This record gives sequence, structure tokens and C-alpha cells, in this order.
Amino acid sequence: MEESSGQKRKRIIVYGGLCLIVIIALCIAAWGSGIGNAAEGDSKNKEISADEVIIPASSSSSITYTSNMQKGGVPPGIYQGLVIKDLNGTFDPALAESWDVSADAKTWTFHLAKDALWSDGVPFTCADVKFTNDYLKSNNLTLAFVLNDVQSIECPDDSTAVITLKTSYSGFLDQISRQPGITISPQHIWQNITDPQHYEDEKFIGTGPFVFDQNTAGYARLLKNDAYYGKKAQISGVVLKVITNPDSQVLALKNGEVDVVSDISPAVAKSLDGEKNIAVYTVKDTGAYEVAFNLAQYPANITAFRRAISHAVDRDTISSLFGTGRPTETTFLIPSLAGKYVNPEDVGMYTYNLTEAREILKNSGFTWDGKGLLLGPDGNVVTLTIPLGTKGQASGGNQKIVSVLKNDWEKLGITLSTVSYDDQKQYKKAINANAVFLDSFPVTLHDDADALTNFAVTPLQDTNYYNYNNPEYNALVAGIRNTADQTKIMSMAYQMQDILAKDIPTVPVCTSDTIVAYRSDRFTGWDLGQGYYSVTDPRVLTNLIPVK
Amino acid sequence: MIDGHYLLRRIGYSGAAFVICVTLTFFILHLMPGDYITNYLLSISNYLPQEAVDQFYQQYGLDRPLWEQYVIYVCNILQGHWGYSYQYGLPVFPMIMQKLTWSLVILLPAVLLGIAIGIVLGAWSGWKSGGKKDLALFNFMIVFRAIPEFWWAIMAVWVFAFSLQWFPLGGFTSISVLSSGLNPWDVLYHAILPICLLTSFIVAGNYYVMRNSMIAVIGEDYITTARAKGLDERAVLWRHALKNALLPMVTMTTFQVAGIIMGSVFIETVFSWPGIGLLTTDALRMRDLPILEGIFLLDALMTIGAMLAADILASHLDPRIRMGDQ
Amino acid sequence: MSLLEIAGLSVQFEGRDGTVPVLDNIDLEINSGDRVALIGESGCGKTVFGMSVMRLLPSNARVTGSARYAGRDLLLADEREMQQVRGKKIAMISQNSASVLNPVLTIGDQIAESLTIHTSCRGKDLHREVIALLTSLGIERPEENMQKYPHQFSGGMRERILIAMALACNPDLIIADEPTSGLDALVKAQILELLRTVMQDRTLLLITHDLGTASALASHTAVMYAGEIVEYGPTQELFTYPLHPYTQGLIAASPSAGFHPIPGVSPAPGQVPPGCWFCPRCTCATDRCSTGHPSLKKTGTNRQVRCLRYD
Repeated sequence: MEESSGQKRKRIIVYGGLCLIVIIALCIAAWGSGIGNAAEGDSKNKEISADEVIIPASSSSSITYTSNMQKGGVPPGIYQGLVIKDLNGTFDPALAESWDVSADAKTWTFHLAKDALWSDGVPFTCADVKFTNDYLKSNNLTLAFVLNDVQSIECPDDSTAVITLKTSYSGFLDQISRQPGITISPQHIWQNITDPQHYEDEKFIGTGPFVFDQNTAGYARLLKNDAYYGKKAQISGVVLKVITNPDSQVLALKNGEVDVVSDISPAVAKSLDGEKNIAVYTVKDTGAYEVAFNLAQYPANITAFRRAISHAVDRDTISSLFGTGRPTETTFLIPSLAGKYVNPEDVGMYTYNLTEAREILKNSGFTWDGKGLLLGPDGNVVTLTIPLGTKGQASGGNQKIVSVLKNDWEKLGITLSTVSYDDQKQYKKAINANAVFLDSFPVTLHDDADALTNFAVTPLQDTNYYNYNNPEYNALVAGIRNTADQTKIMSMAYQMQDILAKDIPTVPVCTSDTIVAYRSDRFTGWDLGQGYYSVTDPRVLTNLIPVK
Repeated sequence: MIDGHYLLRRIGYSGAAFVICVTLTFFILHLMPGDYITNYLLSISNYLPQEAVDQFYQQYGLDRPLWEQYVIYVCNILQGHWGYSYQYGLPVFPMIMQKLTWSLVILLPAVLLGIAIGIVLGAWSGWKSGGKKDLALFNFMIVFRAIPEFWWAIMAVWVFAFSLQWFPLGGFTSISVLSSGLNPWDVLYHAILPICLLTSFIVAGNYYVMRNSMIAVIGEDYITTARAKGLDERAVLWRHALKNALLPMVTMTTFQVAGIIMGSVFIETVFSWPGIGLLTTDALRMRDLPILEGIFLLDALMTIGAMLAADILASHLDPRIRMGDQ
Repeated sequence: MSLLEIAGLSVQFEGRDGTVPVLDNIDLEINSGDRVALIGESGCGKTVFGMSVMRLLPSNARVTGSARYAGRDLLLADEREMQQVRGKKIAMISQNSASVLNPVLTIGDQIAESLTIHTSCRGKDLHREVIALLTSLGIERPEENMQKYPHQFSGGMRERILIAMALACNPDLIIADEPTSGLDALVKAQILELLRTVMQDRTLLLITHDLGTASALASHTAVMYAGEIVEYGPTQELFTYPLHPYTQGLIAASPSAGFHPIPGVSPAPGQVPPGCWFCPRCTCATDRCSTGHPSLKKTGTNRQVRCLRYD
């Protein structure tokens, strides 16, 4: 198209004008939001108090909640349970300052904090404890399953709660304190609510070290509870900021928009090394992996097969793949956490030795065909399929384990394949239909003798993942449940570990760490050591000290 | 052209389509493997308390025969009860609306701008097809599309938000919202980068269709006729070519507008802008059926509306399409 | 007085495999009031000729020579100048009325468009003008019909609309490209009659393959073969005493003369034989016809022919 120069000029003016308008609009928008000083990092947080800690939340659902009656996992530090689980597999006081248990582990007496207040000023009493139990059950709320063992709660006085269980249960404290746990709800609020299923809590009246302030447009804010009866927070509040993308969380940390980022990969941790005002710490043994057997399925129903496989899991190589992982030295309890519950005379069953694995297989009816494929006692080729669930999938942990197993088991003549499931129910079905599966879990599940009940069949649990059913073992589990005597529990735990080492329902593989990076120019006191892997743990938050 | 009787009949068909959508949605969602309560309990507990599962099934009527659940569901829908989310216990409709509002802040301008700019660029490029400027733009678009959208988004965040600090990293608004309340300018400032990105992706998509359509149109005889009248090139392009070239775009763009309802998961993820897209994926993951049903219901409404709108729009643009007695 | 004077006009199309000549060295003079027909088989370059005068050929066309209109060589005019010529000075009635009208604009708008560009006629005047045009071309209920779209009209009506569009600005020259193609005999006769009436005092360049149309409308006829003019003369004379064997063949091939087609096919552009281009199909060809290319020679008082027989 040919144009005269006059027309061209006119066009330039028009387009130039349009661009100008856009630029001006952007400037107004920028000015309106005060980005003039955006480049100075911290000044963005000027309007809120400088000693409020800002923590990224990876999904908006983690700060969108309805009430603690309907769901566990409400914001940190608002609600409290009776006790809080400790890093040593024991328990710290929370709303209960101390507790006694009867010798048969059936009656638990909690001595409650006397000066605890609800954040609206109403005193906390035993009536709230009783009410929480009764309300959950009478309204058929899902969380009531956690208190299934509770027969009744009595209040001899305002600061004493006596909980009677239906059957003896020495692991009761663990039951009510580990996720989802039970937090106590205020009677004076909830007694007027007739439809708790559809009730939207907007005040979140709790007893904890923090008080709910607001939940707005991708932020949730908690403020320090000045009336808190225990150790008060030294920060003025906590802001949870939704940052959905993990990479953006790290950028936000570098920018100074957030004060801490948890669960970063070893590679990211390395890249943050030497970054000004950013410090990194590692919480050891926060996750664990196992190669587990389903004893109801051939060939995992053959004990010799399981034993052979236990020598064919190269735990050193696998844990080195995790970057932050290390092989578990013993069995089902993580030694660094379960401490005294771990049998000191470990039998050392799981040494990696393919020759020995081959020998065991040969001696128990397995043979090999011309191509070197393993033939079972029934004469058929042994092939295994490992179902993979969503757990351990995100971090790539399952893949790492499978890659090593595939290589080693091929040498034994076993062909290994995997199938992934993203639905829990399907996954559970698949576990039941296959001989071998992988499991990963937070280590809080493996830090005391109670964790060993996972392998048992009890009146409350008619089967387990492993379809493992050893009467001798079940008896020990019942024994543990029924006594509160720690010495007895410990000796029974040792016996159980011996049995497990012999029967091998599972091969513990390795544990992995959680790496946390934080702004060292903002707060100190993050690293409370092993066991405190969550940066939103109220004990971590109350330990923080502003730098300036 | 459109006549009243036809419109009425058409609306009747749309109603039927809606009923079919609702039915299909209901059965597909309910026959989907897995359920909310199992997912939820297994995510917080290492064993599955069967009595809690049964109790949940009973509370939400999931233990009844499927057809019975369907009848109850349809009755509720007709009365305007969209149900309560399993996850949050909140009524579904306000939840969807709240998330949708946030999504619209980005999607509405992006889709409208994307359609407008895509049409203008595509028309211009097709008009100049074969020329240097057209080839430059065309090749740019090819490169732009060849690289995954996610990469562009991450790079945009890294360059404009992190390195240059022109824009925020993400989120709806600055943290000042906690002290001084919601500031529309601040939300706009946070929305600019995602809007720009999403707009450019939509532009790239529409550009190709529009360019091809325009290339087909410029070969038509009536374009020569228009030139033979002495019209200048711009008048030929905008008056004679554009309207014809727009015809294939009508359906595509109306559905793009309708597609707003599904959100854009990746923009929402990259820019920490939790809207309807993340709500959907999250509900799907957790099998929160009432939310999914609500979203799909809304989606069906929008799509059916879009089809109607596309037909009416097309009949306005192209007089040869006569809706009604033919 | 010469209105349009075309001299040495050649058109070549640049393609991927080199250039293809389509028109070769055309000389044609159209005087004011002349009605010149350009006839020939399909593909001989008739339409390209009309388009090259209007400068509407695609950008890969290379046009050389000159086309002087009112003393100005149109081939040298810039685009803006041409926009002033098109529609206002030289108007076109394109062939195939089904596709040359814009399907999404009303015919009223399409007719009014030329007036809007080239005249100061606006608003009610414009409306009146369009109605007058439609009425003069025998379109009934113009008020109602001008709101309609092209697809709502029959072929004959569309042809009338095209004529109205061409006449709108009262141009000096009208180029009509196959105005009656695709019409049935009755309608064709009506359109021919209409054209004869409206073209009475106008200058027309009629492009057609139909000898009947040419003889009905044209005062002069030029016969085109493979991109060059092979015979020129007053229509009556030319049809009564055709000189060139090709013209004779054309006349013999027309339905009224018993439909005796010329054997063979016209050469593809760029693949003309040496010597006379018609030679391979010519019944009177001699040896020398395949060697020397004849030039267009004057014979008699007002005839021109390109054949060695008349040397």
C-alpha cells in the first residue's frame, strides 16, 4: 500500500498517541499501588508491622478453611490440643499441663492450664474438652473418628479432665496429637451452632499463642496472643501468603517478600548458598521410604522370597540418589527419632548382597530358565508390578527407588514394572492386588512403639497394608496397648522388632531430610532441630526473634 | 437474520442440551473412581477409619442408589440449591462466584484484548501476506508458539518481576491489603503481567486463524470489485475483507469467551492467582463432587449460551445464514 | 478523439519457474463513443487485459508498454491517482456476478460506495441517487431491494446491480468482462438489450468469448489469440468478412453457425510455437507460417490482421 507522507505522519501520531495513553494508564496504576519504591525490597512490607513473619502457603486451600470442627490443619497456633507431640517421641504440654495414666492405660487424667483463655476472653475449662468430644460425636462430624476410643470425659473440676477409654490404649496421646489430631473448641461458641457441617467460622476463637486476624485476597494473618498463658510469641504476627509456584516462593524469598521457604530441593539450597541475608538449615529424617510386601500375594507370601529381596535392595545407592537421604540403619522406627524404642541389638538383616539373595532363592525352590529369568516354585516366570500412589511421587522419590530396584532385580531374573495411580482408592486396591509396593510417610508415624501396630491385626484393625498376621506379634501389640509402663512397652517393642526382622513384611529403605531457607536479616530462631520440620509449628513460631 | 419462533425453538433445544449436560456431568462425576472421604482421610491419617467413611456416605446420601441421588440432585438444581462443598462445607455457588470473580479480573481483559488484537494483527498480516512485515510477524508467532507457554510465563516473572521489579511476583494484591484494605489499582497492577501474558497467548492462537481466513478472503472476486470502485486499500481491508474474514472467527472467539469459566490453571499457578482453574483442579483431585458439578453446570450454561450467541452473531455478520424457516 | 490509447502493452507473470508471458505487445485505441469488443477463447488473456488497464493485477504481474488515458499513462500513475481513475473515470463490470458482489454488504451500500468515494453526494441525495440508478436499470421496488444482500437476487438481477455500480459515477469508459456469462438465454437477451440501451452514448470495452454479445453491442471488435491481437475491424465487417483463419474458425464454432470447433487447443502461455502462433491449428497453414511470426498489418481502410496471407 502506497501512502503519502502526510497520511503516514497522521498514522504515527495516532499510534503514538495510543501508546502514550497505555503508558500513562500503567503509570497511574503503578503510582496508585505505590511501586515507586518497589525496588527497595523490604519497604513493600512497610504498612504491616516489621516483626510479622511472612510465610508462603502453596495452595489457597491451606488458608481457606471453615472451622477446626470440620477439618484438621487449621492455621498454626490458633487452636491447641491437650498435648503436643515432642521431638523425642514424647509429649509436650499444651492445654494440659500434666497428665496421669492408669496402669491399664484406660483412664487418662489431664491437669489443665489454669489461666488459659479463649481469645474472646472467656476462660478455658474442662467443660470445653468434654464439649468437643460430645459435640463431634453427636453431630457425626468426620473428625470424631480420632476420638473413637474415648468412652467418656468427666470434669471433676474446671481444670481437670478425666478421659475414660473403651479399651486400654497406651498410644492415646499419640492418637490425639498427631495429624489430624484433636484441638479443643470453645463451647460458648459452638453450643449455639446447629449445623456445624455448613458453618463458616469467621472468628476462629482459640487458645493458642496466635489469634486470627483476617483472611483476605490471598493472605491470612494471625496476630500474637498477648493474653496467652504459655510462652508468648516474640513476633507480632504471622502472615500466610499464597504463592502457588515453588520457584516463585524462592524468588519471593530472595526479594524479601517472604521470610522463609520450606521443602526446597538440594539444588535450590545450593543455589541459595552465599546469597546475602539468606540462611539454610536442614531438618534431618523428616521422611522415610520402604519397599513393602503384600503377604497375601504370591510370591511375597513366601518368607524366603521376602528375605532374598531384603538383600537385593541397595539402600546406599538409593539414599545417595535422594541428595539429602541416608539409609535407615535399622528397622521400622527411625533411630534418631524413636530413640530408646529402637532395639539396640539390631540383627542387621538387610545388607545388600545379591549373591546371598540368589542363594536364598535357589535354596527355596526358585530356579532360572535358559534366558536367566527367575522361575517360581510353581514353575512360572516371576514378574512384579509395583503400584505407585501420589505419595512420594511429587519429589520423584518413588522413581529413584524403582530405578535402582529394576537394575538389581533384573540381575536376579525378575522383571519389574510400575503402574501409577492418582486416586487413593484405586491405589489401595492395586496394593491389595500386587506383591510389592512402595510407601513413603512422614517420620512422625515411626517414632514410637505405637507405630509398630501398623503391622498388627487387632480388634480395631482387622487387616493392615501388608496383610501381615502373626499371632505372636499381635499379642505383643495388644500388650503394648494395654499398659502404660514404659519399661514393659520398650521390652515388648524390642521383641516385635525381632519378629519383624525375621518375617520381613517390609524393607525400610532410607530417610530423607527437609531443607528450609530463611531470611537471616529478619528473624532468627527457626532451627529448633530434628523433629520440628514444619515452619508453621507453633513452637517454631513462638521461638522466632526479630533481628532488629 | 433471525425470527422469533425460531429463537424460541432454539432456546428450547438449548434447554434440552442443558439437561443432557447436567445428566452426563452427574453420572460421569459419580462413576469416576475414588471419592472425597477416602482421599481426605488417607491424606491426614495412615489408616482408613471405615466408620468415618460410612458416616460420610450416609450424611451426603452417597449410599443411596445412583438414580435416587440423581433425582435428588436434579430437584435441588431446579430449586437453585447447588449443594455444599465436601472440603469446605460451604455453599458451592458463592464459592465458585468468588473464585470466578478473581479469575475474571485476568481472563476477561485478556480474552477480549486477545481476540481484538489477534483479529487486527491476523487481518493485517493476512492482508500483507507474503510481504516482509507479514513474514516477520508470522515467523515471530511461530517461534512464540513453539516455546511452551509455561516457559514464557516463568521467564516473564523472572525478567519483569524479579530482575527488573517492574511488576510483583504474583498474588492478587500487595501485603498492604491487610492494613489498608483492597485497593483496585493495586489489584490491577498485580494483574497486568498475567493479563499481558495470557493476552499474547490468545493473540497468537487467533492470529493464525485470522491470517488464514484473510488470505482466503483477499483472493475473492469481490475484493477486486471493491478495488475497481476506487476504494483505497484500508477501506478495502476494513470494509470489505474484514467482515468476511471474521466469519470463521465467530465460533472460535465466542467459545473462547465461554471458556473463561474454566479459568487458566497455569496462569493461576505461575502468578499465585488462585481462581476458578485451581479450584477445579483441586476439586478434581479431592473428588469434591458438588464443586465440580457446580463448575460444570456453569460451564454448560456458558457453552450453550455461547453457541446461541455464536449463531446470532454469525447471522448478523453473514446475511446468507438465515436462522429459521430454511 | 482517442480516449484510451494502448500501445505495446505486454504482461508477464513472475512465477516460481520464471516468468510467463500472458499478453504480448497489444496496441488498441478506443475513441470516445466507441464500443470495442475484445473476443477470444478462454485463457487468451482478455480478462488480464482489462485488469492491466485498471492496474488491478496481482503484484507478481510485470506490465510494460503504455495505456494513455486522457493523455496520462495509467501504467505510470501511482496508487492514489489510480484510485481516482477507478470507478470514477473507468468502471468495470466484472464477470461472474455470484462472487464479485460482497456477500455481507447490502447492494444499496455497495452501489452507494462508489458515489461516496468519488462524489460529494451524501445522505438523502445519495439514497435518491441509488434509487434512481436501480430504477433506471429496471430493478423493481428499489427502496426494498437496496436493503437486500446479493444472495437474495437472481443472476440477471445481480448483473443489473453490477451495471448500476459501474454506471454510478458516470464514468468515461466502462470495461465489461463477460457481462452475460452464466445467464440463461431469455435473461441474457434482456441484459443485452439493457446494455445496448445504457451504453448507447457511452464508451465501452467489452470482453467476451461470445460472438453474439460482441455483435450485439460492439462497434469495433478485436480478436485475441494466445495473448496477442490477431484481427481488428468494425464489428459488422469483421463478422461478415473475417480475414484471419482464427476469426473464421471462431465464427464457424459459434452455435448459430453449426458449432464446428477449431481443432487442437490454444498454446499454454509461454509455450507458443515459432512462427505464427495459430499455425498448428490453422487449416490454411503453409511452410512459411511455421517460421516467420507475422505482424499486425493494416489491410483495406479500417481493418488490421496478423496473417502472412495478407502480406
